[in-house]
Amino acid sequence: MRTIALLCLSTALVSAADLSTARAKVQRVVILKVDGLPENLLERSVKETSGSGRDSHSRLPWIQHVFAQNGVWMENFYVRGLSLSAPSWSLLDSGRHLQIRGNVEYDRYTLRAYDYLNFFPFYFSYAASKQVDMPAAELMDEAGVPLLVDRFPYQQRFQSPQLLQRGLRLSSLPAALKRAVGASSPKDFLDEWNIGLPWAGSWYRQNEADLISSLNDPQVHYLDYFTGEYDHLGHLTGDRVSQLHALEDLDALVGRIWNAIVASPQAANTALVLVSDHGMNTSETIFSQGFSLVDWFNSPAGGAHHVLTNRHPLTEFKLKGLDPFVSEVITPSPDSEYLAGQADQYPTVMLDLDGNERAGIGLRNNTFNVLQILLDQLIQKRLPGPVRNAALSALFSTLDKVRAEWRRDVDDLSEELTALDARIEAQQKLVDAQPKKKKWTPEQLSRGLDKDARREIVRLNAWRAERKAYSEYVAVLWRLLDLKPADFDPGKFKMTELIPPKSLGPANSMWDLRHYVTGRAPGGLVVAEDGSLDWDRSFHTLDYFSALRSISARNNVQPGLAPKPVDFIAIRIPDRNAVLVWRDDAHQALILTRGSEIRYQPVNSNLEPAPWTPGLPLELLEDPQLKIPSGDRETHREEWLSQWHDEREWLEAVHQTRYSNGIIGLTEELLDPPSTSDDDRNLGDRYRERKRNLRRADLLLLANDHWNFNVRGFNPGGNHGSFLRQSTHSVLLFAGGKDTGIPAGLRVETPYDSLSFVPTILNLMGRPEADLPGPVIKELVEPR
Amino acid sequence: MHWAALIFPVILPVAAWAANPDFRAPDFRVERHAVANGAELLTIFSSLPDHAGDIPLVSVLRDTLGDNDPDNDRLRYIWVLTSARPTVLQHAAAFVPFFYWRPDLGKNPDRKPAAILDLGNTSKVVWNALTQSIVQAAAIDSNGALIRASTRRYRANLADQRQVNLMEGLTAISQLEEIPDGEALLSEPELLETQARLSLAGKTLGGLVTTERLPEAYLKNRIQTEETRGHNWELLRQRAEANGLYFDPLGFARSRTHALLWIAREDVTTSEGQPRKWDGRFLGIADPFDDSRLKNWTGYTEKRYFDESGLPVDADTPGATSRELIPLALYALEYPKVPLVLVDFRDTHKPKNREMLRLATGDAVSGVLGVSKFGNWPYLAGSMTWNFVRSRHGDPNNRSARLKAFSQVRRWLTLDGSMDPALRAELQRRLEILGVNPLDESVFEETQIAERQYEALLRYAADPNGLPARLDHDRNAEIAARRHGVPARTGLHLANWFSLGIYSHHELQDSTSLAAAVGRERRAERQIRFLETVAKSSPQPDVVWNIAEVRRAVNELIVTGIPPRSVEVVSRLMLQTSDAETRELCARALASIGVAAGQ
Repeated sequence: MRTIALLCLSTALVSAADLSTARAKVQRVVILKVDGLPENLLERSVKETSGSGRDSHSRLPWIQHVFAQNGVWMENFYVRGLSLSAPSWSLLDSGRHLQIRGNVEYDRYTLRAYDYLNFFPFYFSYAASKQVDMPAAELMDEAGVPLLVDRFPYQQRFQSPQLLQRGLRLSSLPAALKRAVGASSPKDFLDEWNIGLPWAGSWYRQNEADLISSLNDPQVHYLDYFTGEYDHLGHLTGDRVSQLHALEDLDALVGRIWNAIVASPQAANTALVLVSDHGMNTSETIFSQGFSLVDWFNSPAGGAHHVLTNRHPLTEFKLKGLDPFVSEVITPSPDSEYLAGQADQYPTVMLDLDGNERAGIGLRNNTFNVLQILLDQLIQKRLPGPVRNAALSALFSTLDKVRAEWRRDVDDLSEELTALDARIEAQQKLVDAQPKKKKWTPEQLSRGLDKDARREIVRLNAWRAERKAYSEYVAVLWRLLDLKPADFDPGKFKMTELIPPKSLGPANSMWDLRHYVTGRAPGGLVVAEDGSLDWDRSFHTLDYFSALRSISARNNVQPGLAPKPVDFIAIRIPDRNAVLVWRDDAHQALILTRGSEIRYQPVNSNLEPAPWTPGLPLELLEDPQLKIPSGDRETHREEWLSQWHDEREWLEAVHQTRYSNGIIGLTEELLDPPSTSDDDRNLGDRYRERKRNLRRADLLLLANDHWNFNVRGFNPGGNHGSFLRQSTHSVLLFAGGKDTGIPAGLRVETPYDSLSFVPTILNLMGRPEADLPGPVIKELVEPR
Repeated sequence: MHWAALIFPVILPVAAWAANPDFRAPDFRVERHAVANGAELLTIFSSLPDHAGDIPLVSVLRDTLGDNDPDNDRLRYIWVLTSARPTVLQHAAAFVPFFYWRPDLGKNPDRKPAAILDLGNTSKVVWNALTQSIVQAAAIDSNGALIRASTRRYRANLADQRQVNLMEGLTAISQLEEIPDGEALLSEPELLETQARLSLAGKTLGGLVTTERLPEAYLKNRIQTEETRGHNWELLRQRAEANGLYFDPLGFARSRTHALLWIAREDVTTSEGQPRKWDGRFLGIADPFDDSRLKNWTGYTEKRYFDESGLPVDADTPGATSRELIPLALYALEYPKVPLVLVDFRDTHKPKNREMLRLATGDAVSGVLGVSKFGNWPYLAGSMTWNFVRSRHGDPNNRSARLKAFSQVRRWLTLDGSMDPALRAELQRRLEILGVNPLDESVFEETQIAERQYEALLRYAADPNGLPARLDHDRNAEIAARRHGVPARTGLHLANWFSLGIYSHHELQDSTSLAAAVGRERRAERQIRFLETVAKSSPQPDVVWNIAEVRRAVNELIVTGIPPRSVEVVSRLMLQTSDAETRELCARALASIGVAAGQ
């Protein structure tokens, strides 16, 4: 017995030892999320020393102390995809490939706006119990992608207000208000009054106070704090003093939070992480120049479109600009040819201009344009007989070309909507089964059950709204596809019954974008000698590639800035699983993918392989910072660039070039990640994929350095959104208590991108997840 | 004032901009002039493009207490020398309601100049202004429209004149940031304090801002100005682009504070007969493409050369094309929200007429009709709504900002030698018309006024009963403010008034003892302020500050006798620091006034 007992004890001790070694060293993580903080600016400022009274101390002493001296500094951490807040945070917060591809996205069929940056409607909807999560978090839920915060039970997390926010602490609002207008003495109030009441600052300070208070709760294992103050300032001014002031505020925040961590119960096992979602090309000597794509698309040169955006152009000069709930603004074109006065029903371009160094452009389906022009002529105008016959024949031949494909599409959609009906029914039952209580117990509230319940109702309502909107689209499309020459009576239909209003319809092909019909030709419809419609003479078409690239500015008063705002255009070539990057017909290339491998192939106008030449988009060939693995760089460069390489090889070779990891970013932004086979997909998956594809833009427009497409106001300070290194190069710093195992004074040169963030945090916390696509930062987690 | 160290190491390296070929170092110098009784006058001089020698712009009095210790120095008065005290006739004209001209009513260039700001007592101006407003509302407004309108106009003219002088002073002093050795002339903290105070003095209650908040005030003002300039630069450039005009940013040294819009003569002539789209929003000028004045333009023009991308280039650049450009308007880029039209080349009087209309409306409502915003809530609400809507649409209805833009451009044009003299003269002539205040000086007389005002100031400084006596008086007041509370000081003031000046309170009669006492107080004050900055800036000062400096400050307090008001900050530091030596020093400091450590 004694032997058995000893054996048992021994086994128990060994198991305990195993458990102890297996136990994570990091038990609590505090993440400071700093929007738009560029790595190079932070690095430069940390290296600067201060003046009198602080001699030999860094200008950012806390960041220097906590991260540079006692933590880990990632020298080459990059945004994956666009250097844009909503996509970038969604990737950082999930560790999964992109679901969100712009700060605003529109469903092509219904023009429903997914406005990821608009906080106000969320705050009001939350207060009115109509919403629980920010739209970006809702979308991630819909896609089945959990966030880092979701790994922690509700009572174990503290989340500050941010883009992918779940819930809202309403009690913080009055406290923040009190901070803004309250003062410790009349003297303080007078000072505040004269200098300016700290409205935004008080909100951030309140969140900080809430976070610090949560640090003392041993239950809480995940805390984050989001600040957009640097990003806001960086857009507005490149002034060095102003920028440093913002950085010093951030440094002081790091100091306060670090000290609060040190004073908290779990200090030894707490990791502090500072991460930014992108950089910015702010310059002390250059004002970023804007170009209004809204004006351009409104003008005859741009096709005289009615343009849909998520905010009012020149918001600050309009009373309507004060509306914080706006997500949909249509700017009508005074020059519209066939849609004059129909801006509200038929916007034909949607623009996502946020970030401003790039624009996502969605154009209405080209065939819709042709059909509408012809229908308009047939319904409204008294055409001479031959022209009418030709127009009628053209209408049906156009329709016949797309009929099969579109019919299949609406059939599929109808099938998916039927499946959605079943989900709605099940969801309704789930909602009905929820306790109908107005008051939740403190215990239930502490577990977030009230929010879970409300989340289900929100989901049900969203599905119903979706169902209705898609059904309307399907109904109109059916009517259109059912048209037959034999029984076609133009007087029988209204235009809105045949061409879906407020819809861009199916995506455009590359051919469509280069032969885009913007209206009738000045002479109207013309009949060819054979009695058919003369297409070339009847329609006015635009090649959007050439038209956009040829835009130039006469008032280009800053030396060094390109006279053309547009750098290059990128589009998706779905059938080749490739991205076309286009500067002009002589400078274009395909970025091809094969599993996790990528290849850059210069091509000619027919998309056939072409020789390498300088001036191709991304400028890899001529970039002195390109670091190919070995051999004579000059002779092997072209050969190496022409080969297939995996992402790691590409990242190491290109990350220091002018366009940094653009080649990877473009595939992330425009292509789908390698996925499971089609056989495994059910109707729900297919529906989700459809919705994801419907949110895609036709064109991605990249701005030349120091040009921007902002129309809401002016961003002379700096911008981001492109693949230029200053915009993609982000910040990632780690520091930890003595038991976290996070090294002190380590600088990691190996390049990593946003996909590594979540796996590394989870690994540090002893919760690795094998199916996350990004690599863990091995320098940080491997035993030293 | 160590807090300035947080900001200025960044500001001063802008001298590195000198490497930029576009940068033209401003031709400034500062002259020091010793003043009896332990002070010095620092005067900023600048060369003038069309004037031999240089002119004094601004003088600042630094009270040094006669020693070489910068720790006990204090800046006191600021004089703007390009403006003299108004004559009686100017004062009289300023009383006339609806009189918005500036006739030649004589000058007082040889009279002792009036300081625009006392840095030692910035609140005095605020209380005076508030008192005047109360007297106006309570005692004057009820005496009929004529008295009400004239007194209100006079006070408005005085306030506007002060505002212009403050901005002129700020413009001149700001240029010291651009001088590589500017720090030797006015130290970093002095430069910051002066700029912050000058910009705050233009606000109703700005003089009440405490010294500790000056860095924040400076930074906020700077950030706002930089943002506004960039915003307007882009707004105007884009409007120029959209309308086929030429945008030309201008400004003194590196600051692009203004911009000219031009039109190519060929664009005016070729648009004949073909209506060209014109969207004049934000531009404030008439359609130039359908303007006979431009078709027959004989005024100033410039020939410029452009490359094929539209970038301005030299005439000898291969492929350059020339265009004859006609100036349309000059804009101020630091005006809030929209660029402000200062000069309309086709209609010189238009900006002035707009200004007169705005003033006349205000004078008619508040002066003649006696409708006051604060006595008439519907009017207040209506006026606020109207102003909000108008400013939302880009209407320049901020009088103070307009004055700033006006004074800034005047100063820049006077000093900038890089501009074509003919264009400068043309702009100055047109800007001169903008003057609506009878108390203001003509820009063409400023040089003479400045030289004579400087001489008058030197005379005042040399007079034993002038500036030296004033210094004694101010130091006494400084000590009194430390030793007595507000009620006691009020009593002493009343005693002085009621005795018609026969009784005048002096803390210390002897100048040497007074200077020593003031010196001690100032050093202690400086150390306390430094320690407060240290304690506030970080929960652990050792990480942020040079701990030897902190120790030195505490030690200095022990040596000079630790004032009771420093107990709180020393105690706080003792808790915050992890440096044993500093903790011990703090404990000693506290023990020296009988406070036990940890108490």
